[in-house]
Amino acid sequence: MSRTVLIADDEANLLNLLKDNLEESGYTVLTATDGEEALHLWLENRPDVIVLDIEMPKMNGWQVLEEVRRVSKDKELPVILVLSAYTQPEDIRRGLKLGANKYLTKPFKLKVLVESIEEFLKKN
Amino acid sequence: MAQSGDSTGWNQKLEQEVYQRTVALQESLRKLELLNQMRAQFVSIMSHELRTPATALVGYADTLREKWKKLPEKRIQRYLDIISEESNRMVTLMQEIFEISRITEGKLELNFQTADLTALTAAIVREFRERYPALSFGFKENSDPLPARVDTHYFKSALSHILDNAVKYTPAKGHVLVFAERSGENAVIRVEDDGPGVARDYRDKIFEPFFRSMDNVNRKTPGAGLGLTIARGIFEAFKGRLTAEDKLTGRSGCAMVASVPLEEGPR
Repeated sequence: MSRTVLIADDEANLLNLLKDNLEESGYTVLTATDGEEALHLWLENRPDVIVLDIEMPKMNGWQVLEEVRRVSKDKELPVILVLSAYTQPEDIRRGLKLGANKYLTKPFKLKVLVESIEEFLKKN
Repeated sequence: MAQSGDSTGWNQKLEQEVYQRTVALQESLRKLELLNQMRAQFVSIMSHELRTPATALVGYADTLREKWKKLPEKRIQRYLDIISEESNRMVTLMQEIFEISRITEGKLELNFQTADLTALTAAIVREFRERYPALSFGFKENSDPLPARVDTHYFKSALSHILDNAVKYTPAKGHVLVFAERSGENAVIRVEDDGPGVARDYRDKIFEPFFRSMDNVNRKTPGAGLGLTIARGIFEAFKGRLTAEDKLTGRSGCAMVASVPLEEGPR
């Protein structure tokens, strides 16, 4: 069965790149261009993985992550943060403390992102 | 007694001077700290803004390198177009950052000459009409020429930044109105748009580097938020000003008002 990944990023070029690559790896991909849309899609579809950008309109990635972790009892749901510029150690600590399973900083390697997703899904 | 009085007066004067200098030093220190803080913030935002195109470039280039043989030709073409678009975005950003640093260091090399700002403005408006045929650009000029000492290349660059900004925030089929007129000792170029306007509290902030109004609601607006900073810097280098004001028509939207001293003074 195909696993579903939700990607939220307001940069269209990056969003499409991730979508293309994950679809080629066999995932069903949902996309959101702002935090509110991401939360809405998560509630409706309960994807297996969420890939979140932080700086997004309407609701930022921190808020989405907090809300997902608050609503979801399933602490194992992998949420991977892909950060736009927040690359400082305190940002990484913040992301992990809020419940992100992995924190990748931009620019990141696609291979690392795909491998991280696979690794988390195997664990679950 | 007289000597003691002199000495007291001298001491008081000395204390006063030490006090004044201490205050001045504290003030300089505060300004330097603020400047340092601004510089650190600038570098931090700049790094963020450069990371975004860099991520797309690295991602698309890696995908092409690894999957070239498997990808359909149309997809390859699309990826190459995006690489080109994101590289241009990065180059523009780097040029703007460089321009801002030249402006703040006072190192713009200006080639001043007397030019008619009405004619220069008309030429730039014509360029924008061609570039954005879906928008309406009105140009209301005073029939008199507006001679001023400017560097024509930088004048064009500054006014283009202002018009680019107006275009970004003007909805489809909207209007941009440009006025060129004389006001006392100054030539005034006023650009009015049909956008959402700028709240009074933000009218100075929009000239700060990387500031984008409506940032939280509309990140799709292109650009890093450096254009107006550059434009203000250029007009100030011409001994002029650039401010955000109410529109003359009073309707929603923003008015960017640039003024440059006229060469021959008031009439």
